[in-house]
Amino acid sequence: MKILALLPLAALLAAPLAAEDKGSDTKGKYYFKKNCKVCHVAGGSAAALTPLSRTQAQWKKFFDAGVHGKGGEKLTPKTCTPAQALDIKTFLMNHASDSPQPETCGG
Amino acid sequence: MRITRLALTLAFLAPLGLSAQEDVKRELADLKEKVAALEARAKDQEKVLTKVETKVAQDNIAWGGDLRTRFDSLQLHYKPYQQFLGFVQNPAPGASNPYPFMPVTQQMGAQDWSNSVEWSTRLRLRMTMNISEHAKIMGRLTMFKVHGGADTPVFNGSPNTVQNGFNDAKVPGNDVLRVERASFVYDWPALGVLSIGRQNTSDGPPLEVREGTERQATPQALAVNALVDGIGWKFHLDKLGFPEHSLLGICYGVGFESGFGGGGSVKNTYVPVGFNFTNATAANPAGAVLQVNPVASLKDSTVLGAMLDVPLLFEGLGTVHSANIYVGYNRFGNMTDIPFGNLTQFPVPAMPGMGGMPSIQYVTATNNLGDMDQFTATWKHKIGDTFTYFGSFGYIKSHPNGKTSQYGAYWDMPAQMGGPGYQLTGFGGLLGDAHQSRTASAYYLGMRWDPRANLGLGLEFNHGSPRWFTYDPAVGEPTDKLGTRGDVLEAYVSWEFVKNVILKVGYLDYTYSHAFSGWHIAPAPMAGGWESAYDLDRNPMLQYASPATMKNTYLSLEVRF
Repeated sequence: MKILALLPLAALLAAPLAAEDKGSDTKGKYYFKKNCKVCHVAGGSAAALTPLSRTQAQWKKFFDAGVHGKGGEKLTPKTCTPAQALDIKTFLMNHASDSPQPETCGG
Repeated sequence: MRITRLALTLAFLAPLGLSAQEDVKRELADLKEKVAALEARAKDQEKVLTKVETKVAQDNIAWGGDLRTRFDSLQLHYKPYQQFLGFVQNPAPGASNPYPFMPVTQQMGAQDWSNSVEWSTRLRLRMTMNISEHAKIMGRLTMFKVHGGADTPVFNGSPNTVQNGFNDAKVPGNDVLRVERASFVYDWPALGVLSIGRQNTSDGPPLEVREGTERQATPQALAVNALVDGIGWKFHLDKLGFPEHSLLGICYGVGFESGFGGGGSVKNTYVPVGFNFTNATAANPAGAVLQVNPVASLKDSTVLGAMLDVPLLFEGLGTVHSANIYVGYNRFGNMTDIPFGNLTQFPVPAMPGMGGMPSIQYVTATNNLGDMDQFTATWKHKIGDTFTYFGSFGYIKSHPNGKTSQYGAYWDMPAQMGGPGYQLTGFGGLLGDAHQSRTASAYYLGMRWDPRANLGLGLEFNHGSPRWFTYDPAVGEPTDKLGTRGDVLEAYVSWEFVKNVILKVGYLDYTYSHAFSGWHIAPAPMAGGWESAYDLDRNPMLQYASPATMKNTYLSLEVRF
């Protein structure tokens, strides 16, 4: 009986991911801070950015284009590795202004 | 001749060839200029498009929220207790009770009760209105309805069954869309965040772990998980060398406004609070008279609090760690017995056929009972995306002023039995003792494993000491998990089977050690120590039955948008 009871759980674990292949939200938060916020902060060399700065569609569009900065240079590998870019994209989209859980601090 | 002609022809054609090359170069340059201009225009249009999209999505009202439907199956077990019925004449005053009155109780045996399915639906609409770059209004409107027509809770002794401004969006009620949060927020980048209004004071850490979400700048769940009106200032500590997004919050809130609304009806007046049997005898039953007590002006009850919120983000052991340290302190001033609220069957169960048919009633504060200090601390650590654990601790200390609630069977006792203001049963004073400072504590531990991005398995445990109290009317369910005096074990599986659609199955196992869970007030004991008098294993005398165990199996479907 115990084995039978575990079957639904095993089925859940074996089930394919419903969501699209994603990066890591936690890593994305870390790499966003480490790689992006070096410049993208208030008073920095580039415009201040937070996940709330864009909608999910806008972040997707940005990462799909893979172009970074005014010079139009590639987002990777100069800025970050492809894996890091995917993590950052996941974090930014998960907490975009129109996401189910927008990043907010205060209020 | 032929050679001469050929040379002449070449001599004529050479400049023409050079000219064609120059034309091509010129055209190429023109084309490059045109492409560059087009690219510039495309970029400008991109900027315009981005601005338009951003305006549509953000500049007015950004909406989000969730819809959850949930089935709770409850099984409750009650241990034997003495049902308090009121006071009557003591037919034979003696050494144990020399007074001409005595409480009447009915011995109740152990019993079970179950509610196989309680179905509820909760809709939460989150909105953000951006006023300017740094100013916004944040709000959340919530409807949390139990299915069926039980729109006003039937009072069963639990504070969750009094619908009031602290809990009405947190416990199942009716189909009214309530304002759970509504605050004006101004963010000075260099200074901090100001927030005024109905505050973001619910679902705080570490409760969000079982929801699979992130929370910051919110009071810890063991401190306050209720709807609070007030003002908050959160200082950015980044510039002082603290990790990014570290905050020191100072907040002030009003728990009860005595000058307007509910308090106005009990200012400088008298209220009937029970019957006085002191002069009643068999020969003179008319000696039982209505006990009328003066009720003085109430003071506002307030909360002044501080909280430190330090998020940590670091690499180690081949992954990224996200951790949070939360420390909080609250001072509750001039606490009242009960806020304004509506309910049915209060203060005693109605007696159909005896003229006591159920009807909606309203209650309000009758006394300021004193102050209370509250300390809370939480550590939460997420390792990568797969494993999270947390520990949370709470401690309270009361500072009573000798007063008790006017609700319930109130009695001015002779000196031998406690003296004036000593209450045998009913609602009593702060933490069950209107005269001495009392303390209580609680802890809350949990972990969650997410083997896949869309699957989470969690296990949580919390314990509250016999007098434990927190402003935590509910955590989105009919029962009050974190206010429990005793132990609660919870296990759950959360499966996001479609993006933003979550199926959750869980089990909550409550074991109560003492009565009055969820309350900051309790009556004094008839005799002996409070802890033994209201120990559920010791046949306590109670006006309302208090379950000893409760098992709650739940299934919910939640859609987030």
